[in-house]
Amino acid sequence: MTGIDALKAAGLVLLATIVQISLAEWIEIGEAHPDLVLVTLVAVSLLRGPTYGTVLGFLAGLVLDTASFGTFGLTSLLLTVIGYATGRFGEATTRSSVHPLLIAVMLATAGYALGSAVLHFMLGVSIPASQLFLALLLPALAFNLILAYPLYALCARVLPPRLVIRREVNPAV
Amino acid sequence: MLDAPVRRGDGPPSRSGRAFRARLVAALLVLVSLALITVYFRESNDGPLHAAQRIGVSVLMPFEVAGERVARPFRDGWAWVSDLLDAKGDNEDLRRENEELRREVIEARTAVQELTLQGQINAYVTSPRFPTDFDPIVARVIGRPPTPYQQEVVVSAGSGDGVKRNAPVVDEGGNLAGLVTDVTDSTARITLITDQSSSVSAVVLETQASGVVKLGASPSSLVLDRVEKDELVEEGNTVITAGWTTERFESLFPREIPIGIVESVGQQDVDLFKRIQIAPLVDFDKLAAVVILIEKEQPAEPQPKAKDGPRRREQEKKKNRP
Repeated sequence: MTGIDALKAAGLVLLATIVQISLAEWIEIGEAHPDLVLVTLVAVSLLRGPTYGTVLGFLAGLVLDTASFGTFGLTSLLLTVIGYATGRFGEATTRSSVHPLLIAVMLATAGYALGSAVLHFMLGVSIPASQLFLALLLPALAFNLILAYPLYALCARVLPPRLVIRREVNPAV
Repeated sequence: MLDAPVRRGDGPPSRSGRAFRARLVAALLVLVSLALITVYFRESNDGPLHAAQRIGVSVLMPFEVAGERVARPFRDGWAWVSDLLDAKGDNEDLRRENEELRREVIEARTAVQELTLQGQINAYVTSPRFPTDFDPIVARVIGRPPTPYQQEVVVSAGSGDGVKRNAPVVDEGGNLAGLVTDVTDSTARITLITDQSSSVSAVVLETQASGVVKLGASPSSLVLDRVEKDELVEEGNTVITAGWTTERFESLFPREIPIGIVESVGQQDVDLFKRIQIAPLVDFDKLAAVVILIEKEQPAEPQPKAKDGPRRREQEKKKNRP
């Protein structure tokens, strides 16, 4: 984790968080909003690995919890886990999967919605399953999948993927 | 883009070392998050986390305000489009609801009219005005005359219900409407008293001046004909059925059924009878239901005993003598 890379990544996630707070909350289908923070976090995690994803997810969650007067630490917990898992997913699949970004965004969105529902249920707040799936998860999936490639392209421009120096292995040696 | 091979780190830390570090960081931050949640729930509103949150909100407030200002035109545009779409949907819903309500109102009003009509008929049938020798059959008017020349209606009761030909018919208020002139199993045709072929023997209730009620000059008016010039008839008098019974003939209509109100009385020297215009009490244009009067079956007279035979035959001879 170099310093400039970290600052760039943090700047991206912070920008996404501010846009999310100020603009994206006004766009709504059902009860879902486009989740710029989640998609940006997924993109950065895919580009820079689980450590970036974990730390940035935690920070973005703190900012979101602060701005929304939500339960402090709840969004941090979710985004921390999602950032780490996406980073690991990126390490494991980016070379073989056809559309790793879309799969990662889908999994992250579903995980965030379900995890949020579980945590809220544990805290004593529950919503009907139909509302969770139809009004929350499906529109959120649609929003986030639409945002996936543009945001990933933006993130990749700021944090270009690093080339791997493949070592030539001579089997005869 | 994603398929480009990437490198996570440049060197010294090994892959397993980086993975361990990532796991460690993740575990640490998860624990911190759980601790934050726990502390946030346990502390009061004046606690440090709540205070930090309030400070954070105040720091982020300018961004939110700026974002809100930037978003407002788009939000207003979106809301306008959304409201327009909602309004279109609401319009459809309201129109459908309006249709349903209108249908319900019509059904309710029809039911009220039915009940009112039924109430009037019941009141008439149970009142002392109802002729005692008759049974009522209530029927709805299901057919009206196709042309103004035919003053007839078809009702929803027929011979299967006990309707007989030449049975008198009154409206829900007990006013004379007409006479059954044709009967099928389930329907009957009623010739109204405003038909050209109709004539009803009648008397003026107040003065007992007698005459015959027939169709007047216009389709909805009646006249009381054959009233002697010396009889006293005045405007506003009520004309009722006479119900004459003679040795050979009996009126088809029972006595004292109201027919109409005298509208005008006139006489000229060249005329043999008075000219009396009557306004019928039945509103034939709104006739919705009628009561058909069916004469009760007379109980069979007991057979005369043998010893009474000659005397009874003598009495019958006297009765039949003109």
